[in-house]
Amino acid sequence: MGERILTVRGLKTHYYIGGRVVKAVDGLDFDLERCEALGIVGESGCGKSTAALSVMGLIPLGAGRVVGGQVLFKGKSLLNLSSEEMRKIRGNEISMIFQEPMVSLNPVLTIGRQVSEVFMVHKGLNRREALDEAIKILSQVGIPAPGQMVREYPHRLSGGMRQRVMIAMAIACSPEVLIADEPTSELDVTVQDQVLRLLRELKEKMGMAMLLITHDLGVVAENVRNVLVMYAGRAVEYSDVPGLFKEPMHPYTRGLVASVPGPGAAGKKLGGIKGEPPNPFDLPGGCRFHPRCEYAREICRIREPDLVKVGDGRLCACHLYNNW
Amino acid sequence: MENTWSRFLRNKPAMAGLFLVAAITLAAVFAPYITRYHPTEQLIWTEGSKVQLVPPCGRFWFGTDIYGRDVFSRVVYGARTSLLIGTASTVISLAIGVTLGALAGYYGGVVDDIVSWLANVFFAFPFILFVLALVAYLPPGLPLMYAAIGIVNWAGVARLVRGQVLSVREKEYVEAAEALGGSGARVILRHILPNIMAPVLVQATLGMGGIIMLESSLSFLGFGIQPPTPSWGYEIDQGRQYLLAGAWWWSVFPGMAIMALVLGFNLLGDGLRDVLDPRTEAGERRWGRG
Amino acid sequence: MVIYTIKRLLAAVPVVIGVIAVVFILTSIVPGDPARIIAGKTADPETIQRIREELGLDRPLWEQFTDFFKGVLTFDLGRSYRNNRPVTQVIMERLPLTAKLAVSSTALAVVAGVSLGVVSAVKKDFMLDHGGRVLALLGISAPSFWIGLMLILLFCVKLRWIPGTGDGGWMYLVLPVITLAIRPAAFIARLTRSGMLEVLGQDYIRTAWAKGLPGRAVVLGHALKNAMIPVVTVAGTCMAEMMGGAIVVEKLFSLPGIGRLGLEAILARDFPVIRGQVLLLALVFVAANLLVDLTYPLFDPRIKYGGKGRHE
Repeated sequence: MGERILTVRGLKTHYYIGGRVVKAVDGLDFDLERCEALGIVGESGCGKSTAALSVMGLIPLGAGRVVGGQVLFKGKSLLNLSSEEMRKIRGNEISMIFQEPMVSLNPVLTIGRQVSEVFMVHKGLNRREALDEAIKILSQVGIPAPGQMVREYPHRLSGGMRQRVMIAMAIACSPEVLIADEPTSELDVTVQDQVLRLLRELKEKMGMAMLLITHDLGVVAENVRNVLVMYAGRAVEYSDVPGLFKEPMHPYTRGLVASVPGPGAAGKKLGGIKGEPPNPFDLPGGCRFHPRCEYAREICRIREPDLVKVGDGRLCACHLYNNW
Repeated sequence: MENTWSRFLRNKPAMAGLFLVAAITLAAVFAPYITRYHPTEQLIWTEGSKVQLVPPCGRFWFGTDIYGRDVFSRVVYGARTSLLIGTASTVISLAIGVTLGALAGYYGGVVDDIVSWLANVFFAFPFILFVLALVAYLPPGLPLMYAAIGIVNWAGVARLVRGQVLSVREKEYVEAAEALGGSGARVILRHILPNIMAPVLVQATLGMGGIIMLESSLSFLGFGIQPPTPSWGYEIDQGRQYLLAGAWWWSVFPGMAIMALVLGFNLLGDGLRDVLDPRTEAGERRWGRG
Repeated sequence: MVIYTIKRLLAAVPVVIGVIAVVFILTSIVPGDPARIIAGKTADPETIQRIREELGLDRPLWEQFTDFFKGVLTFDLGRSYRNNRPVTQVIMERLPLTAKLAVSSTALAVVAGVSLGVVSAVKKDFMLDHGGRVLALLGISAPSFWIGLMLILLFCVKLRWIPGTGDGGWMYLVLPVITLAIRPAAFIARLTRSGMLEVLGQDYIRTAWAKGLPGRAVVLGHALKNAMIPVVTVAGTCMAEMMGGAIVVEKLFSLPGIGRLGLEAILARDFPVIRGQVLLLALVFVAANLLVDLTYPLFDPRIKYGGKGRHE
């Protein structure tokens, strides 16, 4: 067990759409240790991206906000920082990579400018020095001919190359935590593996902790040590990867795992769980999964289960395991 | 439809615009009932001298001009000129623009090339000078002015309609109508035009503001409607000579009238666009914590 | 880039030809015999006939058009009916003043409009935004000559900061430039605001925040350049339209620019001058649009390469 670098407790992030409240994240707990690779899985809309944006302090202004809970980074509460203090952490100590490489780079600025400004902002380098560093970091993420690439604009690059540029910007300042939000779901299957391998290698080499957010259990199986399963804004299960696939505990997780032929089947989408994902405007009371759960009992409709220890380092939020 | 209507009613700027336009239109229609004097009547004090350049007071709300005419009456009657020219010119530009735009969009090819070329040429023309030349050379009279301004504005309408028709004509209902053997004109009139009226309505509303502005510029330059019929731009031009001497009311009030009416149409047009165009309705999001 | 430039240039040619044709038609079919105007009211029929022949007015319209067309290509627009001086010379005398007006006003409008729009977008729904939007709305709703009049009332009459109207030094140009700039500034402010709001919601702006850039760098370094693309279009059109709009402002401030020249020419039925002027303004418009097209790649690198432009 290493040192905890990121601790999230009771995080609640709500959006306000047309006068109604969407509880995108509603009481999320998890820990990330130094150098750990943690996967967060769940269906789209379960709040995993919102959780990541909340940690980064990037919830869209006016659309929503973090309404409760704690985010501790190296013991420091991020939610209480001033925007200037938070800015100095973003892209420097905690970085993030996004899902859509096609639209995540500024179309009117050169690659060189976009990568080098990270060095200028966080390391105080001048334009020249920053560009030299940018070229170095681009070659580290496997961009061919980085010296020429810095003069190019994003639309000239393929999706995989753009994602590599995104990664280069994220790791430029050797962050301690790297959050990757569906980093490969928009890429071709062959490119997916390359990008994931690159992320794994960089994580090892630079000693970063990584939060890998995905809906793809196959991606989880090969790239992280521990997994957090989210459903409707909350964590429902936490486990190491072998345990999760061998013996999924939460009925939702069982459904997820059953829908994947086995570890190594990357690219498979989640499915195979009966019923509709919950309506974000009107979440069911009690356990949020109970309308789709085949083990649902009376108590599931009334009381929300807590995330409790259910075995060797494993956590689960389900009334089935309450007598442990 | 119900939804659109109620959203329109809840759109405060649009309602403010509607109020301005409606109020001014009503004032123009019922001008004789809300003004005390006829706009061309040269008033005379009981002792025999002219009622010249009287500042605004209880009797002459907007004061009087050098000829002893009531500025309030002239402003109210001036609304008739503006609205008449605005409406008539809009009708003309819509008639030309919608027809040519629809033909260009529907038939494409050479028709489209010619219409688009013509529209581009008209876009390149300096509007004011162009209309000035038209008004100055052709025999004087009001209908001419409608035509002149209408001709100027058709190109914008045509361009809009062409684009709309292009996007609508691939839709199923149009293809279905064509498959059923509808003739070109019939398909355009029955199936295409009703579906593109919303943006045209928005453009026409915003265009009204522009036309009223153009009319006031023309009459400011002395090429507008024949005096003594009141027109706001002409009032401003006349009044400005006395502005430096302190008789500000003669040109200030007509200017405010232009602004109010144009503002009304602009607010109404913006509001209609917000309500009718679903693209602008999508929630805006902004990243970051500012 | 070269191909793009050539394409744009070629696209402008038919428009220019159309403009020349419409200008010719417009000034040819109108009532009023130019020969009679030149000769004066008392002239006898022989004199009028002789002038008509000299001007080539007795020849078929088609030949007159080709002559006119050739003249345009060689910058020979004939002579003014009023004083028999070459039209190009008459226009070139008056052009610098109006050009000065239009260029300064455009610069002012862009700077003021973009600043106001950016502030409004960044402070969306705050007082500053509301104030800015109301100001912009009033700006596009008021006629420029009236705004100019109010400025005269304020600065010349009440405050006495600026001398009256007329042409004499830069002080006399301050108010005309402001007057001419207000409407386009208001328009650009609205355009910038909506453009910025759209851009600020894009994913690449989220990336910029995620990199830890300060707000200034995100707004000015990342968002503004994207939002400027439509503004460039408007700014170009603005400058061309100002040359025409100057007619009102030049009358208001008694400035002897080409606007005033046009007015004088129309009143005197001085056809060659009117022709020349309409043609000049139309060509300025075409040239401004061309300039805008050629400026696009500076703001949007995606245009440079693909023949089809931005949507690949």
